[in-house]
Amino acid sequence: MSTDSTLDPRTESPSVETSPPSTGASHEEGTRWLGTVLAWSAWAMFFVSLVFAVGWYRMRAPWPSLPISRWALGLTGLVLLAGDGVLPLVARRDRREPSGARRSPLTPWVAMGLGLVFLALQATWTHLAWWDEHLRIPEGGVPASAFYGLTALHALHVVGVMSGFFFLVLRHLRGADVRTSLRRHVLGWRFVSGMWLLLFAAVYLP
Amino acid sequence: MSLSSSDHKAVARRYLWSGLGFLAFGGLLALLIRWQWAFPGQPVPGLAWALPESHGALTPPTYTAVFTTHGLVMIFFAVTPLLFGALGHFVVPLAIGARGLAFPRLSSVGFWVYALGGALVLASFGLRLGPASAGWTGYPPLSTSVFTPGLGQTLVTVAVLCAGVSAFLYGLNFVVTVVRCRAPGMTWGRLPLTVWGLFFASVLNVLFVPVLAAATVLVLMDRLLGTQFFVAGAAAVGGGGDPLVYQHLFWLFGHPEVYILILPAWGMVGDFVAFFSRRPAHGYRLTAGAMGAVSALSGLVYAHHLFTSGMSPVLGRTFMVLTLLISLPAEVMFLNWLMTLWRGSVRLTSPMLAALATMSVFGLGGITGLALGAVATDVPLHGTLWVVGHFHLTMGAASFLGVFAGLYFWFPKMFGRALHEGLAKAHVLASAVLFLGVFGGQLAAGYAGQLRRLYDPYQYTYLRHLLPLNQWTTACAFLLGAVQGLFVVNLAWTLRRGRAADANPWRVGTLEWTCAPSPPPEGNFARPPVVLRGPHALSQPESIERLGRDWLGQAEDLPASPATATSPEAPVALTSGGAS
Repeated sequence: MSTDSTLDPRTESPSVETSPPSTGASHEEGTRWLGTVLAWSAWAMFFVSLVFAVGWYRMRAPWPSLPISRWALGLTGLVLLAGDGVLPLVARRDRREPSGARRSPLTPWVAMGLGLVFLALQATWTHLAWWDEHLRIPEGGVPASAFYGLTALHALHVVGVMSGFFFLVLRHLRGADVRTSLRRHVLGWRFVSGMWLLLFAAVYLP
Repeated sequence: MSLSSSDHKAVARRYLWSGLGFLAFGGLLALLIRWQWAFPGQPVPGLAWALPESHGALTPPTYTAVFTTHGLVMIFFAVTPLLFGALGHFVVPLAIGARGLAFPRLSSVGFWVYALGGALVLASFGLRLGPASAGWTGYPPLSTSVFTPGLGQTLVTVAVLCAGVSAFLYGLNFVVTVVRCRAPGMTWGRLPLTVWGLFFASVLNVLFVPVLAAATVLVLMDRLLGTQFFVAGAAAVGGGGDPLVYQHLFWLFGHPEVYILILPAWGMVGDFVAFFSRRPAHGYRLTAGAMGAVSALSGLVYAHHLFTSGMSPVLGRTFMVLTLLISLPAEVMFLNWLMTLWRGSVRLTSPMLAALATMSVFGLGGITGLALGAVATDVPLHGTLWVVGHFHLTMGAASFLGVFAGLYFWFPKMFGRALHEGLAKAHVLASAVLFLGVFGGQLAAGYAGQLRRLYDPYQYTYLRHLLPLNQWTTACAFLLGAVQGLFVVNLAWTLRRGRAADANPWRVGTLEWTCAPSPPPEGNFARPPVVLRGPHALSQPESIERLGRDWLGQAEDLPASPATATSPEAPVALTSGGAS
């Protein structure tokens, strides 16, 4: 019954096709790529769980409309979605630069710029909701908690992704070749924009 | 070795020492709980310095804090870090022929995040209003600031988050390492079962730890920012939240956590019964597949923890069926282990004894779990010591014995020294018997109706007759604590004066024993091994004929002609198993 443990002649030769080579820069980059994809995919469970919780509350009682226009909130998300379209193109352009190029890659700057715009808009909406529309916690109950809490958690992830780009710039300034890292960092952007769609559907829509 | 080293063996040793420290701490807390159940309200000898106002007796708040901290320390800071942090970090790269983990710095960062969490738990004891006291599950509204206003509960909630982040990081690292860093020829069908167990458990870690993180973050926001996710009833503002949401999220993580804690131990049992029966593992692929099936099902059964929460009976029935289904792959695995043992040349070494003990206590724990998986029997048993006995047998005793099976097996590889085998066997046997005494006693008390977490169960007339049973169980628990001294003495003696370990003391063929010295250097292997066969090439006639021994290394060439002389490492003590 034991299959591969025996001395079956078929098992005597190494099956190299299933085992990746353990050295080489491309193999290492592939490993990092897989790690990044897995990490973000698995961490999506964090937001899925938050959405599950909000879904529970929404099933229990009617979900009130937020005092901020859903069009305004949607426009904010468009900044992230625009990044999804632009960043891969910029990253591709950066990767074509020769390895010794001194010019700083453009991708981190574009990402940090778009990220700042997104965060500024989100901060504006939450500020208006709190001070002008008097949507407060704890008085606002679960809807207000979800609006501020989940928006803040998502914004923290955006800050995390922007920090990744910031450190990329620092590494470049120290002379490291960061071109291969660009593609992985753009994955972080895709993650936060994907999770924003969940947030929009679960919390912002009435 | 440097504390900043990111070599997987150095990180493993860090996890080992801190995990053992927390195991001792959690164990001492368990003894306090047992004392309270045997001698309620009476001073604990030697504890007056810590509790001067009660002259050393546990007060109700102290008792609550003690059982809370015992549970979460054991799960998040002792058993999980020992299985993954210590054994997983050490074994995975060596067993697959890798030079290290895929992301060495990530594993080092993970350890320090875990250490920060551990420090926060310990620090919580020095705070006003004491440490956490909402139970290890941290159910709201108990864990909100309405019921536990002290900073201790907040720190411990952050500590759980730290332990979760650490588990996520090493889980991710193990998955990527197994997928990407295997040696040439190390196909999936040639992985040791231990690696399979750690791999599946790591997949569960990365999938479900984020769920715990979400639940914990929501509790923290309720505590610190005034959000209303879980605050309900009179304390609620603006309509209030629902504590039941937390229970769903917690158990969506919590039930896979049971398998996270036992899958690595199952993998080790699968390997060790083969190694020490001197036979190839029976149904290797089926065993690995069964572990995969259990992992897949583990995410679909969580709501059997919530049968009494008022959920729809239809949902209750659905989760009952799924829960009972999970016992099928578990049975397949058990039968494969038994078939491997059958007519094997069994050597009762300390790792083998620990593996057999793991099988026994997990078997009993699994059977008692059936009663909790079925709605009709769960309803009367819910919240009783039956539940406590059941999960201590599965997650506590079985995982503990699994840890020691692994530790006794890989200790010579980790430190290059051989533990005293007699002391190790005595430790394993005594621990296994006493575990059955302690948790068997809990099962009996639970069946008689004793509710868990009661400060003084004998306030209730119908529980008074259980005092002698609880005192007997407490005696077993104190003895269990005492026999851990055998391990401590063995460890201290061996590290100071133990004899150098043989190159391959267990006579097995896996890569760590056949291709790397003990302890392995940085980079593990002088050159990457090329794997030729599976991990259980034991008692094969060709190997006996040509090499004069009953084991064959995974990366070892089999010579064409019979050996002319028997090497000192290759005793001709051949077996009646596959060799006969």
